[in-house]
Amino acid sequence: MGKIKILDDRLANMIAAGEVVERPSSVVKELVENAIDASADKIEIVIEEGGLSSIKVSDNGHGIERDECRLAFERHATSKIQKERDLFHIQTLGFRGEALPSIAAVSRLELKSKTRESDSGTRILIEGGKLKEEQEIGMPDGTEVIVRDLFYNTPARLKYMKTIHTEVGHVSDLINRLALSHPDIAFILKHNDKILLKTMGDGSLLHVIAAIYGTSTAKMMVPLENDSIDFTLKGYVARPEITRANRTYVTTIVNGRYIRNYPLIQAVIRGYHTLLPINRYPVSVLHLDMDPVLMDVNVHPSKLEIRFSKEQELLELVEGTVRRALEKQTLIPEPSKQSAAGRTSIKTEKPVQTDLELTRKTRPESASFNFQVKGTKDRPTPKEIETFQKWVQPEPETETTGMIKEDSQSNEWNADFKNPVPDQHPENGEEQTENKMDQAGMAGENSPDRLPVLDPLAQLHGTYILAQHEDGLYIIDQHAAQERIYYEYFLNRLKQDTIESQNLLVPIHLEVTAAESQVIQENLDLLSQVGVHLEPFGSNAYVVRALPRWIPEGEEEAVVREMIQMLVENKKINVVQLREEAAISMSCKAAIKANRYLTRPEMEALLDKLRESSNPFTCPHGRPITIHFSSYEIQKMFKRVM
Amino acid sequence: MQVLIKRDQLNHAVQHVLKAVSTRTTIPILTGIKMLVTDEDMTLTASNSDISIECSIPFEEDGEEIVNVMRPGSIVLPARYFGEIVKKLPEDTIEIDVKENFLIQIRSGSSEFQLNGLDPEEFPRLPQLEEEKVFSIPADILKTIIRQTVFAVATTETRPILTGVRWNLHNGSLSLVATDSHRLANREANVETSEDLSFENIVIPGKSLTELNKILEDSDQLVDIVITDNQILIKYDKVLFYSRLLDGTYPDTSRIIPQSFKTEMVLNSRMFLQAIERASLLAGESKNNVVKLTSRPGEEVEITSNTQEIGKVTETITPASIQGDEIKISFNAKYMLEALRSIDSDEIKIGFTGSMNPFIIKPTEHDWITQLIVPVRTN
Repeated sequence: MGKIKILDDRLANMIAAGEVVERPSSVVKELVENAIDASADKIEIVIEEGGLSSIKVSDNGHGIERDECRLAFERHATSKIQKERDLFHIQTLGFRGEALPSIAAVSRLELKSKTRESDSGTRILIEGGKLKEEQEIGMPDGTEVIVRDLFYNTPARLKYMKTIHTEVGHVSDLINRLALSHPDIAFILKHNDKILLKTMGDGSLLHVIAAIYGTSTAKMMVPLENDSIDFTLKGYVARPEITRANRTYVTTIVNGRYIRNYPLIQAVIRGYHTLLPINRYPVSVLHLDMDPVLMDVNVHPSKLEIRFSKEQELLELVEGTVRRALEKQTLIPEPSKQSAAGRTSIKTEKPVQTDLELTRKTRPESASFNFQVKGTKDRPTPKEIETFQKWVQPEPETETTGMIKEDSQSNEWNADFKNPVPDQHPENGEEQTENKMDQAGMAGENSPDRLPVLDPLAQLHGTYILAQHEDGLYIIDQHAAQERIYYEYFLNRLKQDTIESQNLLVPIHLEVTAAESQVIQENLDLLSQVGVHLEPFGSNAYVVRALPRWIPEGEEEAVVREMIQMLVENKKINVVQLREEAAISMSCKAAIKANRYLTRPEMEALLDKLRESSNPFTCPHGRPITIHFSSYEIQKMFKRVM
Repeated sequence: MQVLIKRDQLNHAVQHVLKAVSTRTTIPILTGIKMLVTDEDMTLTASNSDISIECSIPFEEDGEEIVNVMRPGSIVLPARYFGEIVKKLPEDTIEIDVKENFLIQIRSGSSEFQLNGLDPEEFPRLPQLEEEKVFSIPADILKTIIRQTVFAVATTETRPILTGVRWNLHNGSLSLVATDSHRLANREANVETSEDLSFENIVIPGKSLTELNKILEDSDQLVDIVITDNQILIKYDKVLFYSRLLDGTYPDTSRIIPQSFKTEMVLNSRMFLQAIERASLLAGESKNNVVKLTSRPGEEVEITSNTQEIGKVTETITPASIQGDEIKISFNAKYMLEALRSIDSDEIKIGFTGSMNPFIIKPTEHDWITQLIVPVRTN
């Protein structure tokens, strides 16, 4: 007697449902994706009791023909791909042809659909995968699917459902992502008649962000846009003062599909490098467009995972674009969020009175610290430039810059006439990343001067410098400020260091995995170039004979392992990145601490150097250096203006 | 600039001025020591945000030639390296030769150093003080009165004025007060001054006085002290020690010190100190190092400390005398230890005015020192 039989379709669908239909949110996902693929521009999702008792998804898409309604519930029936070639050019969200039969197998499903061409719609009812009813009905264009009593015939699965609250959370997360992916579609999500999300579908991503994360967050978003030969990148990243405790707020959308790709999220976070505090993650929404050939979505039925063919190029593009978008901003947190003008939407043209620029000139600095203040210009901050477009288009030929020459004995005024320096933001992404390090130490004329010339007033609690400028009050953390200055100085110095190796009397014994061992063997030369001399020591073990001098004491093995990890992952060693960690700890130790009295000249010197640093806004640990209260905010607090 | 100089004398002077060199600063030139050589004398100067120290080196001492000037001049030396170099040079005599571009050549015996110096013109100049308010005090007394008060200053800048010691002078009596608002140290001393000199509310940063005490020696040599509105200058031996004064008005402490007591006891200071030291052993790592003192008239004084996770300690000490009501009071052992260590007397007198009120500790022999501690409220 034959023990092996082919399962009947109904059973096969129930098994497939186990994979595809995990919980109510999976049903919602499949149905809404179908709606999107049907080019609907209005989708309404109504769920009851977390979706377990009923899920209704209605759209105004192109609908299904009457004779195809029943076919749609056959396994591997799809309108989305026709032949093998299409699988590698997937433009739609769904394609596997598994969703509808799987859902139908574990619920009581009602489908109503009408195409624009036909006069009447079709209604079919399927229970546990069996067709119960089919009839002709009258209805508007589009499709409506109602899924009732999900998992009624799979009690085991039903038992493992979490609370209604959790299930609603999953559904709402899902719709948030879909809404972010499709700003041109109006979504309405209702749970037990309560509206959880409503987007306008006007095509503005910022409006969707406002609907999901709130208007205050949306106002703090910085737009970005960039493209390369293969990729187009668009989206919004939040200014670093808006942070979250986990990575789920980094949303990446590829060709209209929400995906989770760890390297991609890491690239976004790297773009924020040194701007975020430890264990805080940014809020961002990135839309990537690329030729479907460059990616493989067919990794898992959930389609969340994705593989890219030109991953390295993509990651560099993302990282560079995020970094540049943030660098252009004046990243000084302001205490009141309402006042941060909508940077992205408001671009009013207002006349701007050009000022006589009074710059303080510091005393010439010593030779060992090459932070010369020469030709430092006080230009309007980028914020001002952005908010108020320049009225006078051709800039005046000369701007008057009055410079105060400060001497320990006397103050003399010196008028200096200089040509305006145009806003210089290096445009090339790759080069800029490297230039940044170079500029760091000797930042001079071409460092983006985004912190205005500040006049220190006093010190608060021996920790913060209070400084004024025409546009208000600045509070500067003295330790963080000097940490930033030293960080750039040390980073630059470490970079220039020649590779000096220290031979070890007692070598470090390193056990590695077989895969690592292979990589090490191939890259022994590369390792010795950076000063790490390794010798094989039996199978899957090496001894370290010599190490570069810059490795901090006690961290030798960890650093070597980190290098090997880099080799395995990227096939190269980024010494600058490794040294950076060393620079951070050195700069923290060298910087003045809190609780220390500073004289006025000391405060002035600190502020001048801070202004020249390439990033005067956050310390290397990502904490803010400066807080700004604008004159307007202060007036408002005192109710001088209402 | 080119000079030959004896190593020991140079080292002595360098170690003095190094106390004013800040390792962390925002102005790089302040990490240096300025050396100035004229035809008449040689001085070293260093400066930080609180203090400036100038130390002169005589050309001749006890008939021995110390400095031989070939070419006068000035230079700013990197303090961190220069200090170490001078200490370790092999011969008794050092030659310092400043070349172009502030390049310094230091030679001694077989060793030769080349250091990059800094422009002496950039070095901040020392304040010029009007010497109107001047008084004198022997070095050892000054050292003592500073030691007995400076430990009580506040160490955080939340109330900057409390990080200093307040000096008042009336009728030849100098009064020093320091408090961090949890305890207070008060010391009086007689000084030599012209009759009519008096001042009030001169607040000198505690850090400055701590550094000054490292320079002062236990000798009866007179120290001249010049006071102006925002600076104090202390002239001692070959050293000029400048400190800024703190801005602001020091709180009035005169009414804080109680004059009459409900409980008074006299204790052997060494025994009491050791008992408190033992009691504070169990305080563990907690900063609130609380010790409880209980006494009944005519009985022994009991000192206890209790930290839940570690354990309990009980000490008894027999007082030399005790009068007044019974008392049960808790206080921070650290404050008590520091107060007791500042009192150089065999017996001390403690006066209480109730378990919630500050109490004072004084030597039995004289009234110059008063230490006050604010109790800890326990439930």
